[in-house]
Amino acid sequence: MTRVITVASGKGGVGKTTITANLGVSLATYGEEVIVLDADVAMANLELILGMEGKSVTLHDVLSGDADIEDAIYEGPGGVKVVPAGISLEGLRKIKMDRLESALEILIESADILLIDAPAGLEKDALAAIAAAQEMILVTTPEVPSISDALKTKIVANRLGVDILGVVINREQHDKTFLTISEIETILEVPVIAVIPEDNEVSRAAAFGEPLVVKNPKSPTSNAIMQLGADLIGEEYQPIEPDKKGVISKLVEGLLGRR
Amino acid sequence: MEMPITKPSMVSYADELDFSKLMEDLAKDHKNGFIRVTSSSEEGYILYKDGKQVAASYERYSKREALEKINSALDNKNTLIEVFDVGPSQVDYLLDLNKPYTIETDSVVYDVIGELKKKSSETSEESVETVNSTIIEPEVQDSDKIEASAKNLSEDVESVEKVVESSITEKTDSSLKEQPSEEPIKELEMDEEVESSPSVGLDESVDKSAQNVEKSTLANELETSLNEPPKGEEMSDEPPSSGGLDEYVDYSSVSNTPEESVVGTKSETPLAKTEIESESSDIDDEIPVDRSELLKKYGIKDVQDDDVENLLQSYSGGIIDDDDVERVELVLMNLIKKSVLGIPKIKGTEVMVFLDNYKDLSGTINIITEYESQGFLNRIMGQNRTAVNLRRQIINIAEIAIKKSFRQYPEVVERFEINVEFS
Repeated sequence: MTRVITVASGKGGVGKTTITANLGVSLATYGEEVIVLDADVAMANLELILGMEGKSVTLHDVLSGDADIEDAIYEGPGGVKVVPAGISLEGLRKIKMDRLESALEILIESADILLIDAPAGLEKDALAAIAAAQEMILVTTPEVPSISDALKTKIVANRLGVDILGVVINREQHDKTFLTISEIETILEVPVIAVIPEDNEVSRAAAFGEPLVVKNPKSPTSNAIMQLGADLIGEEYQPIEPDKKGVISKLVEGLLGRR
Repeated sequence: MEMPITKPSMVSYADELDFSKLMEDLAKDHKNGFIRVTSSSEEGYILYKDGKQVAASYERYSKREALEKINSALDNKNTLIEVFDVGPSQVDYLLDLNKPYTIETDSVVYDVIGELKKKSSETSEESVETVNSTIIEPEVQDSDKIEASAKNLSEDVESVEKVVESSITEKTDSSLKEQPSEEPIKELEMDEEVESSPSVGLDESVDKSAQNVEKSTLANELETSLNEPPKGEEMSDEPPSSGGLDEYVDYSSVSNTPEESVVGTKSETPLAKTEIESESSDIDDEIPVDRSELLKKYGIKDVQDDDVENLLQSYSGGIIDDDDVERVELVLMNLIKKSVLGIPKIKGTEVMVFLDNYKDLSGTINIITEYESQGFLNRIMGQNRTAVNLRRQIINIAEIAIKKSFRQYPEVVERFEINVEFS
């Protein structure tokens, strides 16, 4: 049976799309048939993170009634399948979110796991993305506004009968001004299933249009996401240790442009 | 201090802000909140309640020392000042949470605030020499207070020693007393925090409880602080704790990260260090965290069932397909037509309803009506008035029909355009 997992956050800009994209690739590397659907039709970013912008048929076209969902599925990095939302403001006018339901029915038939990148907030489009799933991963940063919005999302998801798998704390820093893991668990009443550290490599990978788990699998973020993917499907994951290169070898590599 | 960092209500650099005026304004407006002062990597807080400063910290300093440090930090033009507003009940909670930093309103320390406020304004106007002289004054007065506090400390040491005498040997004490007093106190304190515990470990009391370790550390620290000569500025480097065990635990957890404690003590046995770290983290983990207290601390509002219900109601009612729209149009049309025909003067009417379901529900209602013709004189005199009255009556009827159709969303009536024409 296909698992439909929505990745939601409440607050925007917490790294939800980055985690969804990388988690999708991660699950695909474990041999799962994964489709990542960008349901954030207003602020679509998934295709940018995966380097898949400019696709001719997108979810915009499907929700506008101008195309079939099958035509909007593309092969992405690591074997993950992707349904981009499209970055057309023009297309937004014609969108009807109720068409999402029928599109999802078709997607479910052709995947083991359907990952939905939900829009931020609790507008109709976000609620539609949450309601469409059986399971949800809540993404938050350890900051108060982010936790506050995550709490609202979690309660709404509970009411919609969605099973919350846990919280992913993104951009975690050892700073006393942020909430601790136990504080977040207490407030949200949901277990923390992954802690992803603040990592400059994420921005670098996004700039290159490559998922981090492919571009830099040794980074702490990649290891954390790969571990999360493994935990979701009950696989074992052995973290990849970063290379312990000397300063000179790094310098030489830098000079030769191998980085 | 532990403060909930949210969105600041005001942000400014020190050179762009008159700090004394800010304090005056906060006092005048009886504000509740806190100020965060960030200078390079150092950070300080002033908590104020009802416009009055009630607690202060700056890195390892508290109360008066913290205010002095904040004052000197304000001399740096790149110092960032952020003001955060919090609710009155939250201030009480924050005050409770940051007890070691609380400034007693009737103490000498409290008077310093006013002095510092003056100083901050003076620094921009007066010469450096004048500023120096004003700073020296309170420090001279301070030595008496320090002596008094030293007496209190000695009493505290005695009481703590009684508690931990089983785990602390005389050897430990003597080894600590041998610390070179010429060393800067700041470094010394960091060393002591780590060194004291391994010294207990050397006593082969490996099975000591975490509580005993904390207590022994406190005892050693208090002992050491008593051995230090109470002199001017160096004394201000003292930890803020006035001796209470709880206060000490709070202070150490707030101001020192495990990494910081380990810095400069590389020669210590790694086993002892790991023990301390694991024990201190165990203590942190053991502290029971109450959800409602956490929500209060961070000012997070718990979501009520009604809010969720309203949200979901608007969601489920928001999406209607084209067939639904046609049905609503028909119902509304018949309802309005029936009501308009009930007006005695109306001979006949046609109603057209156009709903627009894009984003928010809105629509246009066109009503074409024929009413009884009147006599010639009446036509000249009163036709206009009759038409106006009828138009108003028909619009009312249409609005009532809309409200009846969308009982749960009475505001929707404002999104309808109602046109009435007479044939």
